[in-house]
Formats: sequence, C-alpha cells, structure tokens
Amino acid sequence: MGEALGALGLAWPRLLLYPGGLSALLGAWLLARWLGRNSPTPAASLVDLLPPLLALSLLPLPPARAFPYGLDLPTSLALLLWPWLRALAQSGEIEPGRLRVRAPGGALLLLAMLLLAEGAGAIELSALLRAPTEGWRWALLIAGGLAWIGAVQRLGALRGGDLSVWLGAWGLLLVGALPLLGGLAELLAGRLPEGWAGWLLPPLAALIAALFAGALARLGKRP
Amino acid sequence: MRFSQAICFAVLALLLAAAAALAWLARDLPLEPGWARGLLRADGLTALLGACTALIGLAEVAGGRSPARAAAAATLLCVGYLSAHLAGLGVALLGAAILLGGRRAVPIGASLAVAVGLALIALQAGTWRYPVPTAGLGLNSLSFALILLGTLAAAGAAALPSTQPGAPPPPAWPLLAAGCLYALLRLFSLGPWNLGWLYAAMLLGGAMALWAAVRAIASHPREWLGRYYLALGVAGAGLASGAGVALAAFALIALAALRLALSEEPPLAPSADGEPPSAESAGRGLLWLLSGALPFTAPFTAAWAAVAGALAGELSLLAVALWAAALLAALALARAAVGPAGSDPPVAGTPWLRLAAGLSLAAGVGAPALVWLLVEPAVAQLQAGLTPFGELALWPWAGLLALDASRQPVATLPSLALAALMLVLGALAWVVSRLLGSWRDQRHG
Repeated sequence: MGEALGALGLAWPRLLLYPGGLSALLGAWLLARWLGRNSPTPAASLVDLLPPLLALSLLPLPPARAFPYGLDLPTSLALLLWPWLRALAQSGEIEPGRLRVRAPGGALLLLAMLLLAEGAGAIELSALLRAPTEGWRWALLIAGGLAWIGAVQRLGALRGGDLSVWLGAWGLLLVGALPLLGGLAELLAGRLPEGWAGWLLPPLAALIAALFAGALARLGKRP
Repeated sequence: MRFSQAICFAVLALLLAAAAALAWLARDLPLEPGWARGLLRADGLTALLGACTALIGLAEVAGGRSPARAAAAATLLCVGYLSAHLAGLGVALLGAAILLGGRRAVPIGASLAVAVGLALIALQAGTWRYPVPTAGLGLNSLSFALILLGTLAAAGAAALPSTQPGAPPPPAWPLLAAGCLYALLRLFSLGPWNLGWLYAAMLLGGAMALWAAVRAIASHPREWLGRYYLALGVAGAGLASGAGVALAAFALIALAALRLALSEEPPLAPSADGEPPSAESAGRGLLWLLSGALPFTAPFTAAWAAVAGALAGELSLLAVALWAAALLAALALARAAVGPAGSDPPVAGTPWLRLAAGLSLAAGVGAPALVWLLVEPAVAQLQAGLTPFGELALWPWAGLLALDASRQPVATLPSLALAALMLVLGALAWVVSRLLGSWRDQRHG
C-alpha cells in the first residue's frame, strides 16, 4: 500500500509536466498545426480529455523518472483512441458500409500489434524500448512501429478534431515511435555526452514519427 | 417490479452471496462434507461459476419474459455445480435446458451432448465421482468433443452460419451455456487436456468470437455480443491457463452486464407527436461503460485477459484475432451508445442500465479483488489440469499482470492505479477549467 501511494506521489511531474500535462498539450498543438494545419478546438468534455492525457502521462519516455505501473498496448490504445472513437460514433460513421473504408487501417493496426508483440516478446510499452539481441527482432520492432503509425493514419485517427482527439493522436504517434527511440538509444549509446540521450532522443524520435505521419498524409491526399 | 420477480431476485442474490462465501471457505481446500458420502463437493471453480451463473440469472430475471424459470434454472445449475457425481451435473444441465427452452431442440440437444459426454467419461473411468484420482482415465476425445460442441451449441454457434446478415438470430441460452462451460472447465479437474483438444477449443472459440463481433456491428448486438462473450469463455478454456480461467469469468460477468443493459423487447414506437419513447431515458450513454472501449470495465478486462493469455501462451495470431474481435465488439456498442432514444438496440430501463454500468465498472476497477477472491482459488485447485503458459498474477495495489511460462510479465493492466490517477487528473483538470472559466468571465465582464 505504502509503495503504491509512494508511486502515485512520484506521478505528479508526469501528470503535470512530462510526458503528460503541459508537454502533451504542446505536442498535441504542434501535431494539430503540422497535420491538421489548424490549432485544435477545445475539448468537448473532460470525459473525452482525461483518458488520452492519462495514457500520455504513463508513457515510458525518458528523461521522466521511471514509473512502476506502466501500460501495455491494448490499454494504451484504448485510452488513446477513446476520444476518436467517441467522435467516430457521434459522426454516425459506425455503419458496416462506412466502416469498410477503415478496414485496411484496422488490418494494419493488427499487423502492427503482431509485429511489435513478436519483436518485443511482450506487449508492455516498456518492452518496446528494450534493445533485443537478435537483428530480426529489431526489424520486426521497427516495422511494427512504422505499421502502427501507418495504421492510425489510415484509420483517420490523425485527422484530428478537438483537443482530446489530437492528444490521442499525439500519444498514438509516440507509441509508434517507441521502437524507434529504443533503436536510436542503442545506436547512439556512448556517442552522446552523458545524460543527453534522455533529453535529445525522445523529441528526435517524435519528430521522425511526425514527419513519417505527415508524409503518409500527403501521399494519401494525392490523386 | 412484480412480487414474483422480487422473489427471484432475492433467491439469486442469496446464490451470489453463497458463492462468494463458498469462495472464501473453499479457498485453501475443497469442501467435501462427510455426511454427503462423497456426493457433494465445492471448490474454487464451483464458487466462480456459481457467482457468474447467479449474475447471469439476475440479468435474465430482470430482462427476460419468464423470470421464475430463469431463477429456477440458475438455482438448479448452481446445485449441479455442487455435485461431485457427474450424473448430478448432467441431470442439472438437462433440467435447466427443459426449464429454459421447453422442448426446443437446441437447449435439449446441447445439454444432452454434455450429459452424454460426462457419462462416457464416467463409464470409461469406472467411477462417476470426478474427485476420484482414477476419474481422469475416462477422458477421451469423443467425450471432449461432445462437451465442447454442446457448449458451443448452447452459446448459439449454429446461428452464425445460418442467419442472414441483418436478420434477428435465434435466441442463445446464456444460462445453459454457463452451465456447459462449467462442465468443460471441470474437465481440468480430471487431468491435462491433450494439445488437439486445446487447439480445438481455442480455434472454435476464437473464430466464433470474431464472427459474432463482426455480426454485432450490423444489427442485434444483444444477441451477437452475447455469443461473443460465450465464445470468449470457450476460448479461455482452450487457453488452459490462469489467464484463460480469468477470461471465462470476466466474459461471463460482461455478458451478465450486457443482458442487463439491453432489453429483449422490440424498440418502443415513438409517440404520436414524434417524440422518442419516454421509457427509454438519456441513459443510453452508459452503454459506453459496457462497450469495452475503456480500460476500467469488465468487457475490456475480458478482452485484455484474452489477448494477454494468448500472448503468454505464445499464440500471437490468436491474440490478434481476439483483439480484433474486441475492437469490433467495442464499435458495436459505441454505435448503440450514441443512437437516439428508441433506436435499435432497445435498452433496459434506467435503473437496470445503471446497475449494468455499475457492475461493469466494479468488475473492471475491482478486477484484482475478483481475481484474488474467485479466480485464484479456482486456478490453484485446477492446477493439475492447466498449463503454465499464461498465469494471471496480482499486482499489489495496482492491478493485474500476465506472466509467461518463465514468469516474465507479458502484459500489464494497472486498473487500480489508473483509476486513482484518473481521479487525480480529473480533479486537476476540473480546477484548471474552473480557473480558466473565471479568468474568461473577468476578461469579458
């Protein structure tokens, strides 16, 4: 009990500053400007806003202090897709005929999960950051991360809406960037000054993921 | 509420309390009263399935057309679970089938198949009492196939290929299917299953879950999602692990919540002035808590146990199929949650809807407590028949962990920690929104 309360006490910087809180709001705003070409509108309700904010707060991103109660892929996906799913339902798009358009995105999402699970040997988010010893696992992880970003882009979860949807999109992008972050950390281990990796690599991985999502979005718009 | 319905509720509430008490009493060792001469036995599985059956019975009494029959069938099944004699369980299943379906072919056929399967085991082993060590000698493929097919038939599997898309499916028999699932899980008391049986249960359960979830998006989510949860239970038996037993339990709880929330009656017609029917309130939004789209609910916990259990057993493809089914099932109820009042599917009255949402939320947030009280004793006592691939462990004061055969965590569901952090975050966000609101008011006013 004491351990759990202590852990919750340590969660304040995560909830308020990074990776949740202010940094999440900033990331969502930047993503909305980059992919949606507009600032996000205010969230419709707290019910929509809280789940993605919570998932973002618990992402295993350095340099935030490690949090003992991490998430896994299904739980983080549910929390991050929550506002998008609510918006999708309210727009009346959950009809068998209209859902077929999103079927390739759904299939890609499942493929991404398969690749990530096989690559990491687990579906915990922190496992996606660990450096596997075999090369083929690296390949599966990176392919899984890219497929994840492609899937959420194809599903329309990166097309935006209000702030809560953009927060979810930012979180989904960061989850897809986790294997890339693990790869960069492994690649640059010992080449960066001590303590710099934690500050430099997460923004770099997020930037690469956002550029990749942007490229996919532009490609998708081509006639 | 009618008087007879109230009596039925009281009986089922007593059954639920008795199952909880039994789970506590039989936590370390099964209870076998000496005066019963070996005919009665209560262990963790008895308590677990007893509690789930009582919950489904409550839902059937609330929404069904014949509450007395549903209550009697649930009681009979729970008495059957207490029987150490395989014939006792078979007779209870047949009795429940007659009570629920009269002379209809599906329930009678399903219960008969399970009863014959149990009888064949007893005849081959030379003993009718399953706790006898030699009872496991009677396990054979024919008996297993009969019990598995009987369970699937009671769960309404036959409707999947035979029902046209959009057409109403024939009714499933959730109470009877819970009883058949008990018989299927009870086989673990006799000994480990062979690999073929495990694959058969996993594949048939997984395929049925996926198919039913696809059907649920188009129409009749009450019936199709009911089949989805029952199929998850069968897939859980096929996983043959602690996570599989937990999956079966959470799937049955989610099924009870679903049947409590969605009404069996056809949608009410709008009133003469075009207004939606007043009997259906604005509580439709509560269906979000039954959709499995949020991690604090019973349907999500069932889906998580399915994915985590399959991955811990190194069955990635099954995990992906079960996740796909869970996503589709979530979409089906998400659509229902935003539908206008009076639309399909019809929802139960507000009190039932609130009760269903509360049950789902309590089972989701309190999943560690349920696992500790009900699932862990059952798994410990069935250990000889289960595999080590996919154990569900308690994460003290945080939630649940799924462990693989080398006891490494594969998946994590910190439901209690998430709920606590959500409360903190909600309070923070509320304070910030109030401060922003008052700042805007001052600026404009």
